[in-house]
Amino acid sequence: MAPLLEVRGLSKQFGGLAAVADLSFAVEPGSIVGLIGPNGAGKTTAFNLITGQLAPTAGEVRFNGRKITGLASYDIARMGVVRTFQSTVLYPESSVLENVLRGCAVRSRVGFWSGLVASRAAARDEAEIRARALELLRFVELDTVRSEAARNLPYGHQKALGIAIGLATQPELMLLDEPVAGMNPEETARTGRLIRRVNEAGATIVVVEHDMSFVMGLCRTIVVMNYGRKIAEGRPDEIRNDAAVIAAYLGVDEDAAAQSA
Amino acid sequence: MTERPVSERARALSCLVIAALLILALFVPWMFENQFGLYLLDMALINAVIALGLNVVLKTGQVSMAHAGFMAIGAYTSAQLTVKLDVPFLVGFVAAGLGAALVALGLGRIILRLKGVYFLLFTFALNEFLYLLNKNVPALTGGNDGVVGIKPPTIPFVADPLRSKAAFYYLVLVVVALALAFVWALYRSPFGRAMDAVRESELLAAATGYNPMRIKMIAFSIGCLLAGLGGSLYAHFLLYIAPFSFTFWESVNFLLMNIIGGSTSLAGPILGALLLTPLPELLRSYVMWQQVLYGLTFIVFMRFLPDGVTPLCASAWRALVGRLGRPAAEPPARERAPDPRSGS
Amino acid sequence: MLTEVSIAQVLVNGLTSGSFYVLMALGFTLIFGIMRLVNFAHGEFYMLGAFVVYHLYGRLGVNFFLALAASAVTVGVLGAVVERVIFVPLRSRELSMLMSALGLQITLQGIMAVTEGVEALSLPAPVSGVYRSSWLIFPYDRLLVVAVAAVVLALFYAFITWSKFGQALRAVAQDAEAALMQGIPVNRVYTLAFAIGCMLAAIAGGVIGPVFSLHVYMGQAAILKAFVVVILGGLGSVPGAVVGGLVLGLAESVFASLFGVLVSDMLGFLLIMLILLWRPFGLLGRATA
Repeated sequence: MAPLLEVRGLSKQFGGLAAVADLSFAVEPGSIVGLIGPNGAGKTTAFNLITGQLAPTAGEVRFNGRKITGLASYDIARMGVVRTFQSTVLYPESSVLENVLRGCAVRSRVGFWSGLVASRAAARDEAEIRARALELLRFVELDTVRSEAARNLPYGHQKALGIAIGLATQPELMLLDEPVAGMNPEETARTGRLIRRVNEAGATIVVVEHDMSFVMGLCRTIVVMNYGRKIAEGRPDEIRNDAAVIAAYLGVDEDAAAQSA
Repeated sequence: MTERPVSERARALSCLVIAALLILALFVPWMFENQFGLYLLDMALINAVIALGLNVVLKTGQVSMAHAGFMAIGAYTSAQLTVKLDVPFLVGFVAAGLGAALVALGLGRIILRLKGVYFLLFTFALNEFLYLLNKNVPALTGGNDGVVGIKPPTIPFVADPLRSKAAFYYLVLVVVALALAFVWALYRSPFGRAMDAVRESELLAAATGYNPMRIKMIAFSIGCLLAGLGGSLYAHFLLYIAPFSFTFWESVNFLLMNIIGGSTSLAGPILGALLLTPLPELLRSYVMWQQVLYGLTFIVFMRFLPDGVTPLCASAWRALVGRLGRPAAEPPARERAPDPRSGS
Repeated sequence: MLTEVSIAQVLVNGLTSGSFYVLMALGFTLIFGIMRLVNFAHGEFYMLGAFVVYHLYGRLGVNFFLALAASAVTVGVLGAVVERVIFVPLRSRELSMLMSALGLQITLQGIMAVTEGVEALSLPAPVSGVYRSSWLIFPYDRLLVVAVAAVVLALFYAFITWSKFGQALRAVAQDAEAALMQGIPVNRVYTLAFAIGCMLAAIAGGVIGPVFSLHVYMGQAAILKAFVVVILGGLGSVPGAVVGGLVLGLAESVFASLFGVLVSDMLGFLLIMLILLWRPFGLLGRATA
């Protein structure tokens, strides 16, 4: 089967600093892939490059065989690639339901004028969007708080809402940036189950995370980055024992230990 | 179209009140013996159209200080077309709106990517630049002397030109009603939802499929179109226009109308225009103190009533309606925490 | 008619008015750099400074430089009070702060219009006389402004670089959150910054006032110039204000001699628009987070 996402030689230079250098990997449809690495390895930058928030200095990204490098983020989202953000990005003043409704709207086929005059097609579309949004909220277990303003939600719920908004766009590929950062074990487990359910429902997932056990337990393939480059790729057990990976993380630990001494 | 669930009875009551207001509005000129009062009302309604236009721009999160400039584009387009080329009023009126909208479209492409305070500063400079340009091209705009001898509007099938303030009132009323209806429909449509999304988080909106530039451009063009139409009405009401009517301070005024009236609802700019337009006249005897009062109002509102007076009116309305109808099953997110007793 | 004499005159005029503009813009850019506030009321503090000097020096005969210092202190204190009362409660709401600054501008101008009247007043210059040579005419009162501008800049630079307050200011300008975590009283720094910005505006008003005439609306022209300078040089950049001021002064002088004054006014706003589109951080500014 052809890979869903292909990253080839992706690079991003900021002045003299290479945030991402010659990154290449492929994501098979239906899989859950983990993207890990020490802090500053370039994982979020890689996401930004893939989904169009940043333009690469070199390399290309292909989705379903089509080149998506250089496209605007909203075009890429329409094609079926959506991402969540590390620092949860929501519509803070609006209700939970409204947040998800806005995500659903991208799949609407109602034109500007048709929507303006509230035609029958527009009304039907709106009802459909609403039904889908409510179902999504049930799926992420947020339907009980659907009238609450997004900024009032506890942290864990905000993360779940972020995922729900992404899901609302009916993506083929979801890139999740640190979905369980700062969560307790119970919330982490719940989010892990949610991600698995999303994957089973048909979305391919790439996850950036620091929680090692979470990634090892969830992902079938893992890509490891350090200093902007890929240093390893493979199954969890392969990665666990990879010398380069251990060195990268151990090196970080040594520095941290030295600084606190 | 943002979530706004409301009980059946409250909705019916709202419709009844709006209908009553509309019918009442038709009889206003009879109630006004005072010609000056009618003059103020007409001016207030003209300002309402323009303030409403600014509201559309504000809805996408762009704070424009150039709205008086677009009003000027409309005013001068309509004035010169009717005075120099003897074009009928309605053609000038439409051309005014379209002219302003086209300029907005052309500029929008380059300026709408400016964020926050930078966009504000640009529009400030733009307004001042247009003002100075206006004074410097007498061939086109009459320069400092402006345009005189503008004719009152003539409507097909109406016998005389609308010379009286009462007659003009009906014209503006129709324009305001149509503009309100259009903007109301716009805000309730999927595009209105897109506007809210772009304002609240352009990043998230773009990441989930909305094209922020396209949305902002459409909103900016619509907003400036309304400003242009308002400008045309202004020109054909006062029958004389000059650069001093379209300075940065006029732009601030339209912004203030949205702030005082409340930028979050449609009633806001209308209310703001109705409140602010008569104010300079009412305080005419205290001209200097008028300015101090004006400034203090700004400060007080930004501190204590950032959403303007409409939330106060809305709360009062809801308190009233609450006694008559069943309480809403799903309270809107912004005003109250969810009632644990209400089902979901 | 560009003879050698004229060119020199144009350049000197340009640099002179340029230093006027630098002095006007300094406080404005400082307040933006520290508080990210576009202080629309800046022109009114400038005007207040001029009027305090008018009363102390013009009416009571106090020594000019003493009057200038007193003016700076008075207006600075007023600025601190205003900052506490109006801006502190609005800390994170940028648009509200901006609109409040606008409201403050209207209020201050209104109050002064009532108490001082709207007539233009003239103030005798602290130094009189004109330097005349075969190729240059240079009034001494303008030279005084240039001198004051230079001294103020030097003092300000010393303050920012070597004093504890100055270092705190720079820390907050760079990263307010980090400064807070380092124990710097950020709120007090904001008040101090605003007060200093107002002081600088007052000094500018006090020293430029005698050169032209005074009236309660003189702040409008000043702030428009400050806007152009600060956007040219970069919002928040002090070296930018210097470069921007001098560039604007020179450009205006050249344009005025070639095309007349009205066009040179338009030039300022055209420059603002172009800079915002092309290099929104100004000729010298750097992108802020």
